[in-house]
Amino acid sequence: MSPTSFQIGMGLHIVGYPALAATVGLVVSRVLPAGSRARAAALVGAAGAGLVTSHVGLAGQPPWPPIDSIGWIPIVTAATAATLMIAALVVPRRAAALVTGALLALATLAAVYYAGRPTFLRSFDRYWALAGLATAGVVAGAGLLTAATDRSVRPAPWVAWIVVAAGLAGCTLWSHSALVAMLLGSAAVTAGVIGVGGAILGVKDIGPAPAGVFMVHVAATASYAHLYAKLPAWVLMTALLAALAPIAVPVAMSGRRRLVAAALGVLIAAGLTGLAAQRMHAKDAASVKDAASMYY
Amino acid sequence: MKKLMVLALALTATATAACNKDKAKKSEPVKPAPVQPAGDDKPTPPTDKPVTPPAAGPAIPAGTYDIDPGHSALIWRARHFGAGYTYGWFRDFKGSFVADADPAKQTIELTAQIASVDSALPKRDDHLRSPDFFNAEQFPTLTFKSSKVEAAGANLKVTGDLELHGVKKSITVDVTVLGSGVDPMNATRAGYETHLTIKRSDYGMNFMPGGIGDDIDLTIAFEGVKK
Repeated sequence: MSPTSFQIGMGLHIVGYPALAATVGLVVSRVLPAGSRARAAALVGAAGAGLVTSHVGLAGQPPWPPIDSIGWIPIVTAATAATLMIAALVVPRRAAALVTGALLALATLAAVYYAGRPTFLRSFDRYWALAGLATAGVVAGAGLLTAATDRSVRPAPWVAWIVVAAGLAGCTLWSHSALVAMLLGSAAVTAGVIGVGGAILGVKDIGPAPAGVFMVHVAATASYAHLYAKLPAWVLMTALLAALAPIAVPVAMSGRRRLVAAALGVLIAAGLTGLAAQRMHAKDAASVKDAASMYY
Repeated sequence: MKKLMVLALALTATATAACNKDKAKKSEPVKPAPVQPAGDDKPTPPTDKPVTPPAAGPAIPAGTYDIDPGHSALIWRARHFGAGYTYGWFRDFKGSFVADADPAKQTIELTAQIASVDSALPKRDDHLRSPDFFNAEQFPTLTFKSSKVEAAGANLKVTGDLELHGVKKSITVDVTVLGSGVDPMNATRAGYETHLTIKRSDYGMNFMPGGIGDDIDLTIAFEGVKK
């Protein structure tokens, strides 16, 4: 059975176009000198390009200002990527980690705020819980990435993040938003290109900034899914723990048995995300049975 | 006998007058939509004052009406993968309207709660409430507020703002004046109906453009109870 034009279009928007955009950035970074500022900036651009391409392709180009707050997500992602690219080019190396961390914290606070702005304008109570957790996760994840990769296998955290984003996509699909599920799924594609594609192409110096752009984007999308697509808070918490597992495990193991640390981190991430997805699926299956199995 | 003759003459005179009145009525130009003055619930014959454009429709007693949700519906349908139609409606549909002899003084305000969308499949309803379509959490209502009402023959041409999914657009629709009546509780009721087509993409609802049709057909039928 050959795929329909509809299926081909969906495949291109979820996988094809973001993979192409991120790959172009990755290839550009590959030809630039290893360890250079230009390569660091190109890698950030690659992550941003993949994420923004997938979002705009699937959810449409947002008007200015966006009406649905989903439209803020690619804008904040693009702004984060642009800011970090500039930072990669101009900030002195010894201050880079601190500046990147501070910028990522601000970006996460802004991304979560704009993703849920209509809700937060009515009541600000939920903002601090969501934004606080997301910011802590992004800063810890990006900040300890180098320490973790030095103590495990280089692409391991990225492999875990592919699994986490894909698992979140499944959870969101079972809370009945195919669009947000596709957005999270296509974010996993960008993570795959940067992390795994980077390893294949021999780009070893993928620093915390590209990872930070990815995490800010996923944090905003997951917050949006929680606020508007009924994605439960416990799924967000599980995803946060899963995303931090490939960072925390190698750091905790202090560089002993790097392969085991990498595998353990990925397995914990996959296990936690898989459990969340399985529970969401079971909850959906146990809910009201519709007469039609295919209702879309 | 004398009394019977007087009664017969009176009946004949009444019948003749009635016939002449009918003839005169047929030769007259079409009367405007008969909207009664406020406070008078009984239907009255058309007035002699001409109203432009000329119209003749069911009598709607003037006044303010609250929409009776039990006798009103906002029904939609959308094409599904170029094949059939999917139908649904909003169970929570309210509003009010003002009827008046002067169409310019008439107003219509309608509100549907998006969360009450019902397409007969609960999981599809959840999907419709999600950001893929209506995003009920972020945009909880569909509203229409008239800005201009004109007579259009027996019916009305209504212009107003339709707000859906956070986007407000001015639309003009032909509204059929269905009529009015008095229920057993002595409440005066009046009803209107309109059919229109909107493009969901105009309202920022772009999900699955190849699968779900862009044109959404709406039937808005509402019956109001006079305050």
